[in-house]
Amino acid sequence: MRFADRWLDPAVRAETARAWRDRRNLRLHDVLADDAIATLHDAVAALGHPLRATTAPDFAYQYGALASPPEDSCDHVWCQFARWWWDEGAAFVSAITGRRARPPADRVLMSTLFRRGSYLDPHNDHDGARRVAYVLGLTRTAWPAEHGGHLEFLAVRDGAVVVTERRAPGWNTLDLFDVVGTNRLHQVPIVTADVERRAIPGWFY
Amino acid sequence: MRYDLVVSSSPALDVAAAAWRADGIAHVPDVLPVGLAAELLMGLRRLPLLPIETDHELVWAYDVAVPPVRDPQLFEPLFRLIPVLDEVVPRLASAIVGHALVPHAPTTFRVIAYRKGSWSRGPRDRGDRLVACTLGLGDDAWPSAWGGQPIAPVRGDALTLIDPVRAPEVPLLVQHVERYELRTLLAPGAA
Repeated sequence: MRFADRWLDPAVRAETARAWRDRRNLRLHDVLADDAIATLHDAVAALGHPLRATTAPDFAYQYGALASPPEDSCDHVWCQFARWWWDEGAAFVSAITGRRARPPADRVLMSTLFRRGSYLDPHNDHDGARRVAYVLGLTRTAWPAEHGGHLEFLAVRDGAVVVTERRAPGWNTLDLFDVVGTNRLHQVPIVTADVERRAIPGWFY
Repeated sequence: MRYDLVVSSSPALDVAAAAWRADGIAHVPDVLPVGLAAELLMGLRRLPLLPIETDHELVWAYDVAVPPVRDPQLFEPLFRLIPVLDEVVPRLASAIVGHALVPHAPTTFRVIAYRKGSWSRGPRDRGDRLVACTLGLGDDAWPSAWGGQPIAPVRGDALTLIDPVRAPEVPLLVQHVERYELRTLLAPGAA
């Protein structure tokens, strides 16, 4: 695994870090090298993503997911990526955000698959320990927001919930946003079409 | 009891048989004894349903097997439901479909719940010539634009027979509401 060459340029990283300081909510493009993202996608797509779901009135969601830590002796691309992500990925995110970014204690990495009927209701990711949320995009296809599955940031204005920013599922994109506070509301609206949104989401601590 | 009516003389069955021939779907109202749907709903909605995803549907489900010997410790309405599912429904369905049908798995049924994110293009993963039967539980209503209901909404205690290969779509349910139904299958057999 490796980042795209552009991220080796200190000037590019510095410019991105400045953008982070302005908003603490970014989408980066062309994150991994082309062969790395393709290899990762193909390996993840070949793995099962059993359905996970909860219902209201609890925080509700429904999507397919696999989650596991990288075992030391495992040579699967998933394990290779997880080891790399929790090491070089964490260092990269630290450099961009200026914050120490640590993997979760259990080192579990998750891959998600949103298909028809999948959704993630509004939430802010805040738990007092998470610092930066990330979403590595592994979706090759595009569809209009009306079909759901886009990442939406929300705000409450005059008592109404409004979408302040919407990001389509991405290919080789990395969404980073600050979840230290409680105001980073976001959701993934229900997918209404026969499409597939793949991503590797999670948090640094 | 209404389900002990002589089925061959019911105009409702003639209508249902015509609908079956035309569209592969038929409705029969008032199949359950009065109050049984409400009793069942109270108990069955507490079961730990799990989301089940196939190529043709995504619903919450729980498979129930009722023991052949009545156990007073178990939820009593189940023992009044099974004779309906295993005797009355096959008799009604045979009259509507036009050939003898028997329970595919007697004394069992599947509890189905449609919740946000559920949809169905019918129980198509079963073998040929099976007839799917659903019994609605509850009469909760919501706008059709929210999905989760077939074009003709399933009313509480109504029986719906579905030809799996011609099953109508249940559109994606997009709001936090839920609807329960029971599902069994009937197979060709001796009456």
